[in-house]
Amino acid sequence: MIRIAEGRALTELESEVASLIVEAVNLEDVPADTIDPEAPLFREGLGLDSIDALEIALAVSTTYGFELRSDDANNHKIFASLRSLSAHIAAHRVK
Amino acid sequence: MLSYQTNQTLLYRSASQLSRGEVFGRIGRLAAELPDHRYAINLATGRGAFMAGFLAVLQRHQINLLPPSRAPGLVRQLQSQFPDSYILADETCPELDGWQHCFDLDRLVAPADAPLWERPPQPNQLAAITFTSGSTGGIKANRKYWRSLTTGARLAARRFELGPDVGIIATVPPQHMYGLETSIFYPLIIGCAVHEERPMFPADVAAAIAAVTSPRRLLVTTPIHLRSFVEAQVGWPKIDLVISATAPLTRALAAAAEQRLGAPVREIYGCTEAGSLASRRTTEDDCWTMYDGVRLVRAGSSPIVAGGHVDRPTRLSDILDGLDERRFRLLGRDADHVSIAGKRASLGDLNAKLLAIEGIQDGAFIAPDALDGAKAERLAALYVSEQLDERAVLAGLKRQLDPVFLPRPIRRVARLPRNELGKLPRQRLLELLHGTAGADAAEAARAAHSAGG
Repeated sequence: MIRIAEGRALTELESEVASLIVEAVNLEDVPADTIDPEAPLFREGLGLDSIDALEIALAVSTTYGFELRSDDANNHKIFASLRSLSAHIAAHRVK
Repeated sequence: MLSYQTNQTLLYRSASQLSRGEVFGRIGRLAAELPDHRYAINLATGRGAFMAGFLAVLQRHQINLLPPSRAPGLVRQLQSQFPDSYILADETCPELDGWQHCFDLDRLVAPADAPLWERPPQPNQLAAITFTSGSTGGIKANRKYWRSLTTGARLAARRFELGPDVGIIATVPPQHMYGLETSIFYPLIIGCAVHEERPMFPADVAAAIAAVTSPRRLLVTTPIHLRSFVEAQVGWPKIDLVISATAPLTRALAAAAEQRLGAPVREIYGCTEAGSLASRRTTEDDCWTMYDGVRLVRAGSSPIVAGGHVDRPTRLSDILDGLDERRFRLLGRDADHVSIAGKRASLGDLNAKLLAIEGIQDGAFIAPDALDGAKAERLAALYVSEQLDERAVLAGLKRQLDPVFLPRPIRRVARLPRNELGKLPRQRLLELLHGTAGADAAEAARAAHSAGG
């Protein structure tokens, strides 16, 4: 179910966020560096669901000091992939 | 029935409100548009659209089908079981097959002289069918009659002292029995207002609460959400009452939530078959008290409840220690049932689906341990297969299961520790899962793994 990132290198922040996701939702079988940064996080991608989104939001708020919002019109974009979530974090982080 | 003031607020949105008259006045128009089928698979996500759709379906003497998710496999299963059906939604669902009737509540124009409620549903009218997974595969239908849904709301109003001065913010979907009762029938029958959205993250929930300007605010949520509210760095607007359901709440989390949110936390005990049945103030009481008129006819395992809004004596899948007819302690779930993220499944059914995947020789799901619903515990699974790696098995499961039931972790093993009766002792399964089984099993598992590829 995980698409291996073939030749798609993760940026430093992306691999940090990948580890945070793997830890937050107990994906212990998924090495963080095998997450395709462009693959969808939910459903067909990593197969995450809304409960996972809550766990990820908590981890993001603890680690980066801001709260995710889902009624943001960009919500679908933010959670579309590891890459887009990382970009959103880069733009909003306060720590 | 359905008495209300037409100009009273029914729906809160982020920047606007709709009155009861504005929502109910559109039901007749929507009803006239609906296709001529017996069943509507009501997938509307906005509470206003869901409510208008639900009532328009009843006005046409059709029946609402409420699947626990819009997973394509599940919807397809419903469509094959109920061929005379269509999908009713407030946005197109490109991933789903079959006829879809999509509508935008705001674009429905009600004639100026539209009667607000043309034909109220009959008490014995079948209003909705909700679904749980059965123990032998397939889905089990639970029939919800108008009388039972409306009586349940009245009993809740009495229990929680709710009235038209209450505005509701709910983090659960209207298709789930708990969400249907609290976010649709409390507004319909008790006259509460409700926020249109289903906010998810703590910051969203706080913003939605702030948008509700009713004199009293009721937050309807779950243990998993409550934990995130307690931990989030969010300022909480004034809340008057919190109701939690779908999984048992620990007293510690209830206390933390009461302190953080500044409101009493009351818990509802119920199930898809019978709806809400009992409540407790978790910080003060381990025992549950039945809604007025509901009786525990038989306690123990496979307990039976009757009375109140419960149409006919109903068997529950929990183990209850009855103190008297109206008070009980929850001891646990019966062995076949698991509840993950507020959704219930039968282990027997999950196992059947795992075994049905081509290339699987043996396999079993393992339920998480705790009665602590706040931990977002997941199922695990072990399987035996020569050809299929974990990814392939997960892909096979994903086509059939709601994602909350996907096993994490899933492990391939050489064989399952079946005893002489063919049964699988839970302790042995856990040992194998966590790699604490004897060296033999570990070695065998490794051998199978390398043999399989």
